Amino acid sequence: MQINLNQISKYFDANKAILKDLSLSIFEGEVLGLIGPSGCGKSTLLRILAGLEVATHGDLEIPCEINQQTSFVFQDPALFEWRTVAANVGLPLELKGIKNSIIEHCVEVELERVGLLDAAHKYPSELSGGMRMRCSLARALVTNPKLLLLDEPFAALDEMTRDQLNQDLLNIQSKNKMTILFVTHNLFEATYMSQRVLVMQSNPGKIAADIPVSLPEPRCLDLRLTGEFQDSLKLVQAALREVDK
Amino acid sequence: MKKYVPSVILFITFLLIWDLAIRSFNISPFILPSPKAVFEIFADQHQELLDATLQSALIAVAGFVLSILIGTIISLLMSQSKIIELSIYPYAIFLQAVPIVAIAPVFILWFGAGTKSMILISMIISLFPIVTNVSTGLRSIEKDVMEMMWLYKASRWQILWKVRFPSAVPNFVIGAKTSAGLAVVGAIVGEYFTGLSGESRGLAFLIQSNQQNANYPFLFATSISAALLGFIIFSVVSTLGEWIIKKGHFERKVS
Repeated sequence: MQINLNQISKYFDANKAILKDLSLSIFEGEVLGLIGPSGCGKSTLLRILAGLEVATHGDLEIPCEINQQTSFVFQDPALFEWRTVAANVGLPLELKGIKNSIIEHCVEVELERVGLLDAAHKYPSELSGGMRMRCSLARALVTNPKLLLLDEPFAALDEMTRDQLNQDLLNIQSKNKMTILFVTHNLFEATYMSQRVLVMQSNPGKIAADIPVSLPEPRCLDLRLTGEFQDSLKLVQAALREVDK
Repeated sequence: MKKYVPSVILFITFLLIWDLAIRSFNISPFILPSPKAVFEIFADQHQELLDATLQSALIAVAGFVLSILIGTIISLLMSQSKIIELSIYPYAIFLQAVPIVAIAPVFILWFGAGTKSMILISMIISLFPIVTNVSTGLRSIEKDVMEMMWLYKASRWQILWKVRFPSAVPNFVIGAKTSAGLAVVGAIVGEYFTGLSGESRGLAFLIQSNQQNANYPFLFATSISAALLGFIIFSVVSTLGEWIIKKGHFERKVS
């Protein structure tokens, strides 16, 4: 099962194409990092995949099964301040009308997975930025998505917290094997997380380079100190410099 | 307790200056009665003052509660339909701009010089802070949150119950605080228009009758009672509102 984008274009007004003739295939279980200059349409591409935007031209082929099991993580955790962590995480299931006892169980499993079980009964105002993001992530994962889309999810966090969340997300992915597509501005994050880094260019937005990152799995943070990581990083950096000219 | 010390000192100073001014400038009691004379009224006529204050308080509370119910329903309708919003909102603004003294006689003409009219006048004057604040709260939901709810395929009712209502609580409290003060104004203004012949014996009756009898210390005591009533109702609503926000974690996020 794969997702195909064929010659996708998106215009917000008639003269300016945000995305132009963009083609891309996303394979099941892949982790894809999307990087590029501001305004190159990274977020728009993600939003088209989520169904939040509709492409002006081109075909988007998403298998029905994946389309119905897509989760989106916003840059802002977008938590409800009046709900506890557990109630925030359970929201997607609650909206589907699932029984409370089942929700409680699923929420517990998810909180355990993102390391928030102790904070289950706290309110978002009592959480740190990293914990808020974990909560947002748990809410996205509670529906067992086949496709997880993240729009600069960790951009507002400090580096240590960001590294930890990157690692946790990779660990979760290695068990669940869901497809992940994430937008980032961070070269290290893109290279470390991804099996493929897509470098986008702007005006008009399209994919300028598709760089496979073949690093040993499972990845752990020390990998960043190795020569092979540096080599991959250099490739991504060179491609990014090319489009930023 | 410590934070009240400066304001209490100011109050005592104020009373002293008031008393001193009357003695040293020989001010006639027909212009300004002495604090002592006013205190004596509070001591001697406390039953009459209390009855009048309670009478006005009941009207104000009834008007306030009605304005909350009706205001919330109007805001709810406006948040659910653009057409309803576009048709109601201009009139809400228009009615808000109409001075209450201009419409009070009309209410008395329609509903009689009784409690019913006074409650309605109190309601109408305190309605708009609820409508404007609550409808703002119901409408201003962050884009991310609306998109998230869309992705979860939430129904209109689910969005209303689980997002709009809780989000609007802080706005509701702001509206209710303004509205509470206005409800007292409405209750007293309403009673003014029913006149001395009216059946009501609230604060406005007492103010008017003391004015006519030139009983100025009593007039002052009544005015102070009216001010205290406004203050108490505002404080109760304000404290209750802050408590609800804190207890339910409805505060708008600062980050």
